Amino acid sequence: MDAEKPHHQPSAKQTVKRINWLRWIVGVIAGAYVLYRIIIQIIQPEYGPVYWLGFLNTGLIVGGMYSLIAIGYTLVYGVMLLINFAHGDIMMLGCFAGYFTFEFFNFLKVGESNFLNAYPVPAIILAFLIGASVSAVSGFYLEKIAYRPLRNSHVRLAPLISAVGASIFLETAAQIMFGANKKTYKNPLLLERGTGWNIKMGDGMIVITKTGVFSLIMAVVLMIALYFFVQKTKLGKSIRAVSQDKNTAQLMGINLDRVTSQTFIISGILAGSAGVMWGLHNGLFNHFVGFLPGIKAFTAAVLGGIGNIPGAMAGGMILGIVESVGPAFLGIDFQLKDVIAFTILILVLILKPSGLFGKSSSSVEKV
Amino acid sequence: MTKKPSYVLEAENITINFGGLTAVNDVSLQVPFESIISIIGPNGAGKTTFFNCISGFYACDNGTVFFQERPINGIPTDEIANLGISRTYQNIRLFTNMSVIENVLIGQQPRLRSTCIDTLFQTFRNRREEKQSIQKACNLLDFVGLGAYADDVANNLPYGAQRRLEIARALGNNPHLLLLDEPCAGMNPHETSAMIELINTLRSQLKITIVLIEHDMKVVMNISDSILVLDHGEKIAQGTPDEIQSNQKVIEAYLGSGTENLVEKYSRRKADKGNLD
Amino acid sequence: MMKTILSKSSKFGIVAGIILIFCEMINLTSTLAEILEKLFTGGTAAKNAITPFYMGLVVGLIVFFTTINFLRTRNSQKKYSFGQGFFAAVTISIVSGLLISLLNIILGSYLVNGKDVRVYLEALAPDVIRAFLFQTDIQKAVTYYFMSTILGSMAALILFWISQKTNQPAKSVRALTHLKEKIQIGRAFERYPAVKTVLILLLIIAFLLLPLVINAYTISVLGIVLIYAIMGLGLNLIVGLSGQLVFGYVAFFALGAYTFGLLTAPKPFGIEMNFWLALLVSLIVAGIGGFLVGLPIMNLRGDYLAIVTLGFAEIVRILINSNLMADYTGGPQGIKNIGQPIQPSIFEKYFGEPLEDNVWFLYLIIFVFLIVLYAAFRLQYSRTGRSWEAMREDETVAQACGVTTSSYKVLAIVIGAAIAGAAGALYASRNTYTGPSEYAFMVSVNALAVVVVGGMGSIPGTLLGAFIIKGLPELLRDLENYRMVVFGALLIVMMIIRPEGIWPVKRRKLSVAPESIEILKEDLKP
Ligand SMILES: Nc1ncnc2c1ncn2[C@@H]1O[C@H](COP(=O)(O)OP(=O)(O)OP(=O)(O)O)[C@@H](O)[C@H]1O
Ligand SMILES: [Mg+2]
Repeated sequence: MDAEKPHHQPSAKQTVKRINWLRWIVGVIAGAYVLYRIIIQIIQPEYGPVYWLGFLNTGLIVGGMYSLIAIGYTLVYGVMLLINFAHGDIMMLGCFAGYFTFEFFNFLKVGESNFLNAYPVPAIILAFLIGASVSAVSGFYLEKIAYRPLRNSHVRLAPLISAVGASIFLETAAQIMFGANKKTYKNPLLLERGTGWNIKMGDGMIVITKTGVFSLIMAVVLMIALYFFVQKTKLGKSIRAVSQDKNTAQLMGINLDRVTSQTFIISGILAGSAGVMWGLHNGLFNHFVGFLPGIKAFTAAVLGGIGNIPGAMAGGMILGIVESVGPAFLGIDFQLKDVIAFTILILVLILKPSGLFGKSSSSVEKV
Repeated sequence: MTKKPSYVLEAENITINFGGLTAVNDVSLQVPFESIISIIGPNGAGKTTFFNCISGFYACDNGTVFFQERPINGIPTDEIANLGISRTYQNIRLFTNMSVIENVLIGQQPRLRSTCIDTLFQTFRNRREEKQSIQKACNLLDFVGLGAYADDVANNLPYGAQRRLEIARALGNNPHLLLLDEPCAGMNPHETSAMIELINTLRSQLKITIVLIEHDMKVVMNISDSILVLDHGEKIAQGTPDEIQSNQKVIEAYLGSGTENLVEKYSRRKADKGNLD
Repeated sequence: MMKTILSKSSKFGIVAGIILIFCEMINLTSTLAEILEKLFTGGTAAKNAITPFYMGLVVGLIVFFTTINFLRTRNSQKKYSFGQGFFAAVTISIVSGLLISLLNIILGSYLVNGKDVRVYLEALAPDVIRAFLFQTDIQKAVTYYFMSTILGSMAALILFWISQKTNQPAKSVRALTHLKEKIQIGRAFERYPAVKTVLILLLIIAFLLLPLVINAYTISVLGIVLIYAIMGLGLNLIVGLSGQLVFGYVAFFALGAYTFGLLTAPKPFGIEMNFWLALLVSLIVAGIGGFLVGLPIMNLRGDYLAIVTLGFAEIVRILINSNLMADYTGGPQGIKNIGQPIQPSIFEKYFGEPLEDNVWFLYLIIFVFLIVLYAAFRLQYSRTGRSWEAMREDETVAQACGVTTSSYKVLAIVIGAAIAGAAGALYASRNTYTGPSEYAFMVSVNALAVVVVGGMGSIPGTLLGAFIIKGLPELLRDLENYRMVVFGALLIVMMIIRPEGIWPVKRRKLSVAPESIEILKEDLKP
């Protein structure tokens, strides 16, 4: 062998811990910029407080939906260590199912008016049930067809590639089947889009839409229900056990196949409900509706610490708010709000990869 | 180097916790040059954890590890390999889809200098280094007795050969110190004696210092200069094989109380268990 | 026994029915029938009057494959008698026939009532529904459907039975493997390395002469295929070798294209730089993009790179489309009049007249492609490539063996991104235009499919993948709409039945004769 290589000589300081220079540089720059913007906003405010409240309002509503989808990512990641890339498309299917339900009720004549407006509450409940169950069923089969055969694949990337395949399949099939043009949700009058309560504040006015309030409440209720479900029921406990240690959980008599399937069903239910909410609140949608919410919800899951359920809930809310407040706060075009979301993903991975609510010490691999 | 340090490795008062569990508790060990030191102890005693601390996988919560009188706590594993410590794994971990010789070439990583620029332009340095490293890899494989398998996929090797391949890979970075985690686990008596011979040659011919974990008492008593006994993370004894064999505490740790016969039986059972993995 | 057969076979029948319904909803059935008809009758099929026979054929084929599948999988566990097989086949055909007839009864009655279902189901134009009704009324159509499904499953049963009795397929497979053993190309190469060199040289020469003999359409298809092959080679370094998944590869492609466009177009900057210099700069810019994306994930384990690159691709796409950058990128309009390289006069001297522009550009692409191919080969079979592969196999152990995983990860991403940048520059120059709509997520998916289908980590596999993914669909224009659906399904199926790809990697033989232990002793001195 050629000349002796000088051995690396760690100084005493270095032995304590290698400093992550990148983290510091990025953290300081990002922090300084945010501080600078805050000062700017205080010195010469572009928007009055009413606007800020308005942004917050939009953020909360979108955030609720992000949270619901993000929980699905987190649950599946916990159980399978897989980024379920097709999750956004599961939500899309729910959205379509809800759409068709409302259309159907719209046609269904009841006396003078139609079912949709004669019995709006059952119609909405049914739409949610159908949307959630379509998503749940497709999640169940998605796992069974595309992921289960790959659980012990010797190619590490196989499940993830399969997930991309599933996502493309669902999206393009929906496109061919239902057309690429945007469709409009038919809301019952009770929940008409754009209407709501106008709250006067000083010189401005905030519009609190009915659909927004409804979505937010619905999202919060679902999240609370899920939290208790995961904490208290047997299935919830098995999901948590599998997330912690698959092998030990199996030794304790937990049926991995069953728990995995059920995880997909639960995340499908949440995603489907989010899909129906999305349609009710935003109106316009097409086969592409799941794509952006999907990746943003993943961002939210990472933000809250992937695998961490309350983290995903909080992450979704935070992302929703930041995304709607961000453009005004940073003084950039509203076109660029998606850029903010992805920048946050990158910043989180640099600054705190375990997420805002994850444990800071990364768990060590047993060798 | 200025003066020859007195020990290859000195671990001082190492403590490692996992949550509430203290896997290694205040253990010290000194490894002189060209010695073979064994670590024994019942399952879950913290032996592998102790290795992981030396080789940089886990940071210890307390204590210091000195490698040739330099503290090496908290250094990432790749730099530890650069320094000249290499190891094998209790559950064999090869690069399964790569060929046997490629596995050994990866082991030489810290000793290779050519960059990807060299590679792209196929410089003289790159050519020479590639040739030398392949030659060295073949020599290493021949040394551990796997010369015939060089171009096979690592996954297809028989169990015993995989263990020896791990050793060949570990030798690639010209280690001062070699950590072997249960090198004889799951081997039949024939393979075990071949492994003992290999370990002895490693020391006598290649002048490598070895620390090994082993449950097979025959191996341990046969080749060790000194034995460290761990139980529940604590050091309960250290000494020559003879001293350990007659140490009451050790016998109790293993059996509660009993005879040497039982010790052997135990180790055989452990070996069988390893075989199943 | 009968009961389990009944339940199992009705399950398969339902699956076949769902496939039939799905294919009808996306109008795949009639498209396939149309293609078949064109194939057999020589291009006389009219889009709105597909002969019922071919519709029935496609339906029958779907049921046929389902039945074969049923018989095969069940038969491996438990042998059937012919009667049991018959029973199962009938069940499958009846169940699937029922399902598909049900759909067509509904659709047919809508058609009869003059309602257009296209409001909800875009693919089902009245003509299409008529085709699905076999151009007759509902009642007859139902009969036809049952006939097709029953005939399909019966054909499957009989074929399966014959093959069982005569063991024909097994024999032919065995004969094929014998043939392969007899030819022994690999061994011949080993014995006479010169043969291999000559063969490769011949291939390259043939490849170089190709642009002179093919027509303009083929030239353009080959150009696209090669550009995707370049991208595939770059992505293969990241995905196939270093084992990091990238979902947003298009970002680097776009970076290269836009950099090249800005540097060579008369507007907005008017730099009009030399082609090669601009290509180099685009490559470097894309590489820097890769570096930025690599930084956040270099110390992370797990598949974060996939999503980070996806996010990055979205950022790039939004930015080039936005008002913020519109002054530079032209916003939705894109950049026009991007420069093309000038043909050196050598060609004119040799051929008498200058090459046609598209031929000349194809040569350019081939040139870049060969350089990238060379680089990919060099990298893969070097210390760097091996370290990447080790990282893919077991990141923890690779690091403990001394592979600085963080920098190797970033290195892979940077090189892969730079190659994509070069491909992007070529693409922009070839089209003399670049706009935001060309950098959708689908480009990333195509690039990924190129790598996955061919075989992750395998260079010849990647080239094959480029031909399959970009070449075949160009030749099968009729199926254009269904390309992405098929890709999606193909990715899943591929991962399940053959995750290593069509042309998987072969390990190279490296071993040499060992030397004496004395040399090893000298070598191993720390
Ligand atoms: N990464 C980890 N996280 C949590 N606990 C751990 C981890 N690694 C080891 N332990 C625990 O530390 C204890 C010691 O484990 P270790 O692997 O060191 O035992 P060992 O002496 O090598 O046993 P064996 O003879 O079975 O190999 C065990 O209780 C083990 O469960
Ligand atoms: Mg151990």
